[in-house]
Amino acid sequence: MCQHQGLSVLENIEGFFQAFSVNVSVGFLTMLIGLPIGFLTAAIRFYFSGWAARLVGFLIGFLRAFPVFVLMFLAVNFLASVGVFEILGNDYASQLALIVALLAYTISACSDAALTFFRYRALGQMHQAWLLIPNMFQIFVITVVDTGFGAAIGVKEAVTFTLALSESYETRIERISLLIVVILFFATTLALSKRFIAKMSVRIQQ
Amino acid sequence: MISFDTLAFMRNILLSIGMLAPIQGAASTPGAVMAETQLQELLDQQRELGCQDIQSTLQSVLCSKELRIGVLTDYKGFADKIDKMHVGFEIDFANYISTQLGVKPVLIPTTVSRRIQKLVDKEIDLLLAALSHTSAREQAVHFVRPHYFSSATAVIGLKETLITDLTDLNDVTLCVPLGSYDNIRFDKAHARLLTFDTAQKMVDALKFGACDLLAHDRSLTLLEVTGPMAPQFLRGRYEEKFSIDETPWGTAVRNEDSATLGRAISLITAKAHSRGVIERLALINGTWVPMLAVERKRFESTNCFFDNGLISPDCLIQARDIGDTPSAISPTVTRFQSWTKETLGLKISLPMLSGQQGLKLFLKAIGTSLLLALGVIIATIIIGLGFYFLSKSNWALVRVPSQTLRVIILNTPDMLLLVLAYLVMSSLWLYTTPITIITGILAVGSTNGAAAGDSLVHASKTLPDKAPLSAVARICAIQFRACIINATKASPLAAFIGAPDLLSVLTDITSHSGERTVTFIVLALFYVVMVQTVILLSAYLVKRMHVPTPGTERA
Repeated sequence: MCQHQGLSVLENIEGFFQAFSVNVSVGFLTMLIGLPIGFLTAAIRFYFSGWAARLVGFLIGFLRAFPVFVLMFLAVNFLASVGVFEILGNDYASQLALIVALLAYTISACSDAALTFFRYRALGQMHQAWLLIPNMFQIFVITVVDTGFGAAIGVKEAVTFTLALSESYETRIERISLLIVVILFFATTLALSKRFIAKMSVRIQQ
Repeated sequence: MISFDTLAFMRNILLSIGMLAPIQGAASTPGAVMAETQLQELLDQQRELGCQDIQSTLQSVLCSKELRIGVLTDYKGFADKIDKMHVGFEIDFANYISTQLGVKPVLIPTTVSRRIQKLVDKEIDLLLAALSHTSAREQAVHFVRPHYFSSATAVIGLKETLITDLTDLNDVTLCVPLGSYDNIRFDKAHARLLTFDTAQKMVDALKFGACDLLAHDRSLTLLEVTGPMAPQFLRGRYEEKFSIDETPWGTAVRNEDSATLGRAISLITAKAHSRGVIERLALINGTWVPMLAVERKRFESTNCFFDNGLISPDCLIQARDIGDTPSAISPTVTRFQSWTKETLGLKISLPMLSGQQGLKLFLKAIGTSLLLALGVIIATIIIGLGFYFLSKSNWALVRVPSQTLRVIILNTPDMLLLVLAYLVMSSLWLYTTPITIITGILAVGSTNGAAAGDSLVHASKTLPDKAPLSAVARICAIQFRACIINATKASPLAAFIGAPDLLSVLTDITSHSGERTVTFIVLALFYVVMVQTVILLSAYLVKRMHVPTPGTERA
């Protein structure tokens, strides 16, 4: 296979990992924002029973139903119209749009996980309740995988890097081979993470 | 084949032997002197206003000494990015404009779909990005005239294909660029359109046989496919079948800047034509067209200038009027727009409803989106069950690979899987719209089907070996339902590989209408309602299965 714009294989691998670090950091930032909001909304849904709980429940349901991919396009357009792209520049503003979109999933998932935590805790089933921790890891892993959506709006993450690299290859078979290699990387990394999460769940339940 | 390195080398040679002398301002003509005088007067007026109270973009540019120019980065010959360097005809012209204003050019990359929005949103001051001047686009931005370029849309196909005009496009797969107004004409001719956001992707699709024909600006098709500078294996196989109307390209500024920055750029362009600068820049970059010689001749004398320095309308090319014909509901749409403006003070625009072809595309896109959603739900269920049954196989040769495949798909970003599916499917079949939709359905269905299969497999482990599928499904009904909901939410991803769904079509419409608030609200509402319907229906089904919700015992 040829290399991306004259770069060596090692430079391409380095570039890929740099891009992958964007996936992880965007995922981390999304969790950092989504986690407290998710907990707060779960607490309102659990401890209150009036209009506040219903409103929050509706909002979480709305976020849960919102396709992240579509929301990302909405976020790009909204952020552009309020001048965020002008202030932050293309790279950071498109990352921000991706974070906004991913928050729809992260907030609703964290809220649901935290609500389950509150419910089991109230029942005194602490082993079940503390499954919250692996659930949060699981949400983080899914968020990192979903950061790949950023490729559609030009976020310079691993999928974008891979697709750009594949475009520098002349034949279809080279492109398919590259995609398979990257898919195997993602599959191995994330499958190992999930295995770790599963082990953690078992230990908590024990 | 002449590479970009060779072009750059040729350019340097031309520079060194003084062929670009007029660019530096050596040669002059009466027209150029006239334009220069008027330009300096305008710039002096603006400078006299000082930098305390900024009233116009031109004043701001002169004070900051920076001009933010939106340029493309993937348009070979015009505006390309090679090794982090912007190169091409439009880039050279952008630099020329900045030099004439005495400011530094700040080149801001943009895309075809976002170029007009970036200008309207004030992310850039000037747009110089292969923008065809059409009467419909004039509603959104101010086009600077004289134009700096002009190109016809060429339709390219295999030499052996018998295509001679628009009437031959019936049922033919045609790769088109996102945001091109000619897409409406091709759609009217019943061509099956595949829309791409970059020229590179389009040429790739043609190369890989994903489309029968490709339509793009002739200047680009010459450089990429059919011209002497295109790769041998492409120009040997493909030729221009026919072309449709020549359209002028203009630089654009915001409407409120027409009398200031717009006028300055207009005078600079007139001067550049007059001195033959634009023509030479085009020659260097391999993008020369006869229109440039005509414009040079036109502006060499002062005939095109009035005494007050304004340019005579007789010397300016008119915008191409290729707007959509009004739809049957257009009067109602207009009345609704007037009503919202008068009663609510909201100025809304509904480009997807007011034009005949736009409305047709919009309705077709809704149908495609619904079909995609239904397809991914069915695919999720079938693939999920498939993985479950394969995992139950007595043969390790079937069981182990299916488990491995399930784990791989489960952990792969959807976008990678989509592109892989696109590459594989387009190698097996002609990449028509139905194949695009099927590819999207299979890719999105695989991801969610793997998750659904996973939940079935895990649920079955909690039951005796011979437990019926209904018992397994009851245990993991909630997870299975989540997979179906997620599949519906992920269905718009198919737009990434060219499926003409609502996201794709509305993005196309906003890219040339400039309107987006209402368009994106419509888009959001459609998908939320669609997903919410699936949520409610699936909740009803789960309820009928008498499945308890975990953790709800307290309630």
